[in-house]
Amino acid sequence: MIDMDAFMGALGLMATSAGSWGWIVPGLIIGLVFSAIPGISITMAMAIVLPMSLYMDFFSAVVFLTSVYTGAGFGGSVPAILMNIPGSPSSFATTFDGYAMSKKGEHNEALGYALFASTLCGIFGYVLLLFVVEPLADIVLKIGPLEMFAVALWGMLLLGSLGSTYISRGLLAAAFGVLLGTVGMNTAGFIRGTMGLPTLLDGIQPVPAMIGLLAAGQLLSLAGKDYILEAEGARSVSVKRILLGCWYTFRYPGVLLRGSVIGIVIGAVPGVGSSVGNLIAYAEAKRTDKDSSSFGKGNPKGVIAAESAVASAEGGSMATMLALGIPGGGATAILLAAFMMHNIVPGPTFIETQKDMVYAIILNNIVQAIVLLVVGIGFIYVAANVVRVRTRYVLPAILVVATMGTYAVNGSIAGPITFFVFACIGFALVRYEYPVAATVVGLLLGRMLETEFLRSYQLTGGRPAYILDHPAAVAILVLMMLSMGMTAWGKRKQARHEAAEAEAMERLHREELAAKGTPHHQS
Amino acid sequence: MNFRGRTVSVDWGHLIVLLLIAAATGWYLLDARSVSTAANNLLLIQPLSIIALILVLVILPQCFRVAEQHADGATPVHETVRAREETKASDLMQPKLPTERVEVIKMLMLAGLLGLFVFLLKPLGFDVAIFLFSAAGMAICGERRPLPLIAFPVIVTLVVVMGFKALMPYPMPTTIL
Repeated sequence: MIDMDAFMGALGLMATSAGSWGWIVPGLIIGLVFSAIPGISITMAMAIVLPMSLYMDFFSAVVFLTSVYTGAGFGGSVPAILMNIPGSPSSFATTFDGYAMSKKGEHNEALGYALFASTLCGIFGYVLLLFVVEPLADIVLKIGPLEMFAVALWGMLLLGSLGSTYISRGLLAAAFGVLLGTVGMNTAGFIRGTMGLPTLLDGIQPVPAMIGLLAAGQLLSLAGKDYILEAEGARSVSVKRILLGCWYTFRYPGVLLRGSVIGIVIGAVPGVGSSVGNLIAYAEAKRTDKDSSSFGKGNPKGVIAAESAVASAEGGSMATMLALGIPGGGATAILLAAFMMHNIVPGPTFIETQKDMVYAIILNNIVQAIVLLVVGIGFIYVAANVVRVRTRYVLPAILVVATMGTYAVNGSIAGPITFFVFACIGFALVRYEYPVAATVVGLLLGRMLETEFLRSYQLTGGRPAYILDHPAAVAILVLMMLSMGMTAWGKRKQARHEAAEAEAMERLHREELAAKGTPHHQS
Repeated sequence: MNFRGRTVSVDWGHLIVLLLIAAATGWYLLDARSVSTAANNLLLIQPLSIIALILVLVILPQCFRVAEQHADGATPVHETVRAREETKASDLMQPKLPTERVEVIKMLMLAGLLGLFVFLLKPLGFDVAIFLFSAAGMAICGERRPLPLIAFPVIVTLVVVMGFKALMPYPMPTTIL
């Protein structure tokens, strides 16, 4: 399961690259702060800091970005529990029981539950990855270009169909992304769509385009919103009670385990991501619990279920990204871009040749989860202030940093211009409910898709019957069709389910307000 | 808009975006075909462009909505449907988007400002451009007090210019700093 030589090599690698350790805490803090600011998601936080990682060595860059990822997973929960404001979409389900516990005066315990569930399940996800990464790579190594093409196509279809309310729009976003990714010269030497611009010969610069799509598009749509959050009588934070909450988390191993498994599976499947994972884990915990009526009224199991799914999704999505080189969503797309900037292509060959590096990345992520425990408690003290930062300050500053980051990629003004063009595209896509992540992944994978397709075409001499000699590819294609059908069917059910969940929460909230009989000022 | 005696509400923004995607895809396909019609060139692009164009046709009807007008002034059916859809859309998979005209104008202004900023970075110098962009951006987002409008952009400019000068090996043309 684990290659001990490589494992030792990984420990050696971690011991010798002392510089990379220094990036854990800054990464966690950036992730925590950004995701606590309402309107800024995990992906945006990672996109904005991506250019910075260019100037680090490969291992430090991955450590830094995954730290941001880990921190951002928890950062949104603090305002979710204390103020009923999910800092990022992935902590939406945390508000249900987290804020209810706060109202009962149990906010310290709630924070403890959330923090410890994040830490434990973050570790769990990566420990599992540690064991499966080698067997996974062995399987993936056996597949040829045709199968690889089928898998990539499947990933894109999943991303497109699961990432949005409308399957048709999701698929168009994915197709459009892949087409954008093929601009420039292909492996056969044909030059398309460059409009005579020499910068486009190598294709569209992925980093500025990604930052534009993932970050700026959504930032622009915040322009009309100026959050003024009324200070809600400062709640006293007690480390002792937070730690007590951490300790109590052990009472619910079943909830933790189920949440993690849901998180890992959802993380590994392209297109769903943690922003849905927490809702599904919450709904599942509620459905299977004997006392399901206590959910939404401050049941710690609700907090644990939601948080565990968010934290463990990171390990799951890393599995898909490392083994196949296919990102399952925005966050792993950014990691893939970071790999590419350092001229490393993730996939089975990377795992085979650099196994110690892969183990080092996984082990470092386990360390990050533990460090989060300490940094997270410190962050709770400042979180209330972070949430109240006004959009009018955040927005221009972040746009400036993002623009400069795209300039820093190669010191050319083509970066910021690409960034602007894709900011506009991203804005339009977000506005009309197209999943931007599908376009981003299409853009990143477009070239790879075309190359693998071309290679299979050249191998077969254009004989379609060739596919019949490859049962694996046929199986993947059949699975693809089946999963598409299931998605279309399941989507209706799930949307109804989630709407019912949100409605129930709303009703509960209103009932409580009515019971209090006082108008409630908040947000 | 009236069509065959029925009132049809058109989502113009979505329609324009969709047509732009279709135009870009169509142009790309024609451009690729003009380079060469060899299979090595069109293998992926041609089928995918055609699929994309078909998807555009599938999505096109979603830009239109038939509004049944009631004479008695009752709430039109489509509005309740839309309200329900809005609650469905608030599942936070996508950030919730404001629909008021003022907010849309603000967003478009900020987008336009971003475009100006990007193209003026070199001519104005990075420092001046960053200062002007942050000040104007704050003004668009609703800041009116003169002190923050000057102080905050100065801080942003100093931090960003110094920070990136220390970080980047590339030259950064500045006017004042």
